[in-house]
Amino acid sequence: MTTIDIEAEIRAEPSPGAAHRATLLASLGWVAAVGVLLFWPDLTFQPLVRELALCWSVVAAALVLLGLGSRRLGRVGRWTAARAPWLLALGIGAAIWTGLTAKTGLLPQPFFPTPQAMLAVFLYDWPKILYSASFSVWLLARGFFFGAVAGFLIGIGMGWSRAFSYWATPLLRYVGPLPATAWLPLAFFIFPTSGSASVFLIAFSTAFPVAVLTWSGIASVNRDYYEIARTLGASPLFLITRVAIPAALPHVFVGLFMGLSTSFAVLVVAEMLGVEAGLGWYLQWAQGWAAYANMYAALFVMAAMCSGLITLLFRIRDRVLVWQKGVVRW
Amino acid sequence: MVIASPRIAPAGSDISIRAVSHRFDLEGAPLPVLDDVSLEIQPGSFVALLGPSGCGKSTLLRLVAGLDHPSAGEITVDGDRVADPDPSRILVFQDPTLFPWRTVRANVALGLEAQGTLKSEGAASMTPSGLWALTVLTVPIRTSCRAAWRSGWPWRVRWSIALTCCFWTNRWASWTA
Repeated sequence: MTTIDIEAEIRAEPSPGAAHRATLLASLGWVAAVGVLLFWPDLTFQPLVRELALCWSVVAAALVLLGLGSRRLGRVGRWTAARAPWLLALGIGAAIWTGLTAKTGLLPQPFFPTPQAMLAVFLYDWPKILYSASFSVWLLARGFFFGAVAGFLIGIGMGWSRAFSYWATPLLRYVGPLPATAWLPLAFFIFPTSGSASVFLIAFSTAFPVAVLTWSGIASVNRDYYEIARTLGASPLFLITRVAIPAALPHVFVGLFMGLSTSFAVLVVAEMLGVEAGLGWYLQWAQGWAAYANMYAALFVMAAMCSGLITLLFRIRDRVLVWQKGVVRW
Repeated sequence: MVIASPRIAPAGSDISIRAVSHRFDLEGAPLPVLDDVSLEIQPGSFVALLGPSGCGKSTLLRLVAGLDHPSAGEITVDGDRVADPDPSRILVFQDPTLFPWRTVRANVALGLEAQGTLKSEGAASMTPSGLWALTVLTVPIRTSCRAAWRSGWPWRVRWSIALTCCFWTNRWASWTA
């Protein structure tokens, strides 16, 4: 609810030339972080102190500009203005982080890396991280695609055909709830490459929720839709593709969200145990070298990847289900 | 504004309901609804069935539409036994159920699309009679908007769908349950 209040305050403020005070205040947080970084001596030698100070100064300067020109910058201005408290909190957080790690050592050193060390990781190891991230996304995309398609088709078959449902339901009930990771040791033996084994595991974990929700979606379609279409001369194929599937799509998307979240877990475990690339592997590899900063970097990128993919799916859903706006929310 | 009334075939369908009985198979006990109903409807006539709620009016219409099959007896339209729903026999349901993921226009075009005429003949198949129904009944409605409905719209669109379909097949057999 607080965000709404903030937005209301922002809208209530008059005069288009006026500066946005909260954004200017946020820049002070980053100035404080730069101050802590430069004028408080480090316990031990830290790399890239000046470079990091430069980065944070750039953030502070950008916030000053955004604050001054908030009303004239349109969407960008509004976006920053609405997030000013967060931007302030991030600046203060950076200052506290620096203080706790590099300056006082309250958080012991190799386990809780300093911000300078994190910058060093991204600066020197970014090709490897980027390659790992793209490998993970590609692996996930293949697995998720096959799993979603398979689950969707199984769900339609079960929702539509009684015979198919008779044979598929017990299998789905019995095998489906099994965590895909339980297949891991077998999958790496059965499949020729660890990559194809991972694709199978991710597809498996995605297919189950998608199948169940597609099925329930089709089963819960209002019968009147079918009867209306039938009186208008619809063929069975038309009933499936133009009535059952569009009506079931909201459920299908719930299944896709569930499948995507479980597939993240499978992806990371598969990469840690068998696949010789990807963020999960990078995490494991960094642990082997006791490179804690690299592990945090991998986690950071992994979080960005997962939330980015979820956001992408949300965008797709909002576009596909635009008719549903205001009807159902979950 | 004068709207030219579309040409309708001079005679509609000849509907004959002969000794029709129907019951619903509920769990265990069958529920009889219609018992030996016979009715002759001349082509082009306008017939209203009246009766208290639950007396089987809608059931009879569903049988004529072909959505259900009578337990006993026979229904013929122009001499052909009713086996399945057919676009020449349009039923307007009690609820104006529309397809919410379709725009108004797409809802109205549903029947043509289902019969494959929209694809084969394009939007041209909407003229003139289908377009007439669309125009007259949906005048105050933006036809490109989604079927997120205001009061009064659903019924107009619902009838428009039925009439579009009816005019296309050039028959006049339409009921409301």
